[in-house]
Amino acid sequence: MKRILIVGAGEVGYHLAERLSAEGHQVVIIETNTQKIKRLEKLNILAVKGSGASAKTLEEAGIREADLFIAVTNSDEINLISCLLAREYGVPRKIARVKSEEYLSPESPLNEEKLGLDLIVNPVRALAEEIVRLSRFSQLSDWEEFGGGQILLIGYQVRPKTALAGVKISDLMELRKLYAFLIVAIVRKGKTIIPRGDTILRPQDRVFLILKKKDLKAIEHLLGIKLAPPKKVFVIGGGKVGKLVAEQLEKEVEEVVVVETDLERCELLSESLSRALVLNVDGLEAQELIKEGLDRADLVISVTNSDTVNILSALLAKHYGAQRVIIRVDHPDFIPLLNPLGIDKTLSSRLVTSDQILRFVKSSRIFSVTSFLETMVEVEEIEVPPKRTFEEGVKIRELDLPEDTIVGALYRNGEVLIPSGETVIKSGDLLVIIGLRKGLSKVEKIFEL
Amino acid sequence: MRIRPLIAEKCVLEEIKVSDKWQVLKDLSLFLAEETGLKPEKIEAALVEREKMGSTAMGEGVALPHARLPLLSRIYIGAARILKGIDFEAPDGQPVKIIFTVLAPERETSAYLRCLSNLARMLREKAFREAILSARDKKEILEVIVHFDREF
Repeated sequence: MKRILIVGAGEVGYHLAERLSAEGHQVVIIETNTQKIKRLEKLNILAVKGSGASAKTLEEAGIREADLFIAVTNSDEINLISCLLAREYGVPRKIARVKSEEYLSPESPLNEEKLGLDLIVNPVRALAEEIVRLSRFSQLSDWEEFGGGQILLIGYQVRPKTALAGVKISDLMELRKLYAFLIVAIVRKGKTIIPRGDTILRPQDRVFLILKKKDLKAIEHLLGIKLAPPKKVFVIGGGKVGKLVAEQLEKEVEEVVVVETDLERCELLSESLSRALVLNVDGLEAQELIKEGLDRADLVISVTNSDTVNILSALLAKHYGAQRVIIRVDHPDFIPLLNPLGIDKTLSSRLVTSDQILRFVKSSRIFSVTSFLETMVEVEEIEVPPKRTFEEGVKIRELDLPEDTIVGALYRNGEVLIPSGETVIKSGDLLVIIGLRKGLSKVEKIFEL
Repeated sequence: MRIRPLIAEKCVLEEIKVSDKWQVLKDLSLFLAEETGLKPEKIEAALVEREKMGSTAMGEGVALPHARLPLLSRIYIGAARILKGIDFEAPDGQPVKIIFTVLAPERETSAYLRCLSNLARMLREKAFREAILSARDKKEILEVIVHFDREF
């Protein structure tokens, strides 16, 4: 258990507090706004009213005992000052959210290192990076790598009349000698299920598959999917996120079209982009966009500053035939509505930011952690500790893991295995465990993290 | 659905004489071509492409080569034996003696997957493998398949 001090109870702070306290850490939040403090009550988290830039408030919140300091208010200045204060109080690890680009480059007079921070998270960049990462594989909703890139966890939406529609999990298990992959989670109508042998996959299920990267081609064959990168991508909204995304994608994708309503911004985009086509059109002018081939797009990325425009432009694009859409939505309450409407992937800069922070915070035995934003699925890499029971080896079946968790992969001496209940695990093995938060906390206890 | 109606009878072979696994795929393609009306080179190319992604040998002396093919009207299954056994780069290193081949239309949906999984389930049974190997002729091989065939 760690003592964690969070400054700012906005979306990011709230989400972090919820997750970190669910994992058993002692969390204290500093917040100026009484209403936001009220919202914390149901999480059972101690809140201190005041500013993170005030030493008195920090002391009241117990800064002297804190192991970790996270500053995520809406103000860069407050975040940076409070982190500087935390440094003076000797807090070992400090993380700040900083929106301004000025502190990000190694050449800038004040950067991560000079400020003594362990991590600066820039929400715009974090979001753009995540979008670019997810853009690379046209038919997938998710793509995560583990075990130094040897293991993949991919998200895939089952469509009617495709290979997985109507298939029983136990049928897939019969194929494990030919296709060593596991379906580790299913998101069905907004609910996350950890499947069992008798679970039957249905159209519209979003399934999470874990597999060895080297088997990817064979599995593409079996499922009849092609993971080729997209050829034609529309980026709707040429703001900061859109610009970063377009800059990266034009290096990798044949055709990139950026759609922006503001004429001046278009001129700036044309100058800084080398290959992408910049259109001065509203993202909702479907007919104009179809002239440029919106209907034939492999991927449409909607990242304007307006949730409504992003949602509607994505729905229009899908309606006219675009293969896949990724959108930015800042209002968290909208997120669960969107997948059932046919929006393949929804990202919010706040959630991407808190995810980046969570990955950083996890204790040393957990090497990597990922959560899939609109779902409750989380993934952890856990090293089996050098305890006597594990030194001798234990069958996964005998570990008595909670029902809502599953061991998706195991690596030992550089070898990767997609395990079954009969697989024996030993100290030093690295496990990739997928599950729901409650279950994962129990797993952490089994391994005494 | 069951396995038996999908069996291409011209492709049930008591014994094929071949030197390596690529030769097996070539030979089987000739028989499958006769039944399906597709060009043998097309079938072979598809089976080879899949085999190169990873061996279709499953251990216990069994292999299950399979591929999707455009222009195919339905799923076709072939069965063949190599009684002396042949190296198929199996995960357990054992020589392969029983080979079931599955060809499916390009757009075949879950039937392909369920068909493969059902064959894999049958082949996992020792009794099935032994019965296939001790069958005296093609007729008996088909009888064994019918005996172990289950609705899927």
